[in-house]
Amino acid sequence: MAENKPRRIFWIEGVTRGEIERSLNDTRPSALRRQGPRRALVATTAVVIAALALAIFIPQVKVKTYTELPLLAMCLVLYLNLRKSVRHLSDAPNELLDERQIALRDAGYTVAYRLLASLSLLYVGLIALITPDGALAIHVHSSSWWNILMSYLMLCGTLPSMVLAWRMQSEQME
Amino acid sequence: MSRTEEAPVYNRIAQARADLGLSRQDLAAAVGVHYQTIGYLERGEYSPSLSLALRIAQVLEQDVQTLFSIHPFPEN
Repeated sequence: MAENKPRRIFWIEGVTRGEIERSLNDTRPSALRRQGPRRALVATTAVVIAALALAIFIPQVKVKTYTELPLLAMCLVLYLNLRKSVRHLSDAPNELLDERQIALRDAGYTVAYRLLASLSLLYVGLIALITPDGALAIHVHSSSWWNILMSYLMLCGTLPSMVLAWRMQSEQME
Repeated sequence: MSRTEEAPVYNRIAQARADLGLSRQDLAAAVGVHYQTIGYLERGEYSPSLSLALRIAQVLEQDVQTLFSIHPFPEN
């Protein structure tokens, strides 16, 4: 009977076996392994994601565009660093994790889901305010839904890593 | 104790591992967990499943009740 080859790419999780194994077995000292810098990274990401949504209130289109692009780039860089800071635990499939890591990730998912449910209401509120009949409609440009959508998508993508990064304790160096 | 609080599980993994001259990485590889997990176990910050506790006891050549206890071990 032919043996099943171990999967090298996990399409649904969006990661490769190599990157997860490298990340999990990396023993080099890093600021990202300490709780303080990790939490600073989470706070910065939250501010940038919020700023991306609130950029709708910038009245000049040109200034708005020049603000959005760096914010989007920052979001991506912060997202990649957040994933690195939690050793890709938030994205890794079960078969590459041990029982403590799976428990930690699953507990993080639960908190992230609850937070996302609450934050979704804030986004719905913001959209309601900028619709043509909304109280803030006169202050925003007509294409503002794009900012809110991007901010929401970034939030959905980063929240599991943000929650894990916030909750994880500092790693003990060997 | 509330239902959400977890009773602490005390262990003597660090001592048994040192007696056998094993590093955390050696023990982690032998029982199939991440080396940081061994650190969390030794510091009492994580309580293992029964399966993991049995695997650790086997590798450290001890009975599981010698290695783990719900009561603190007496100081040497």
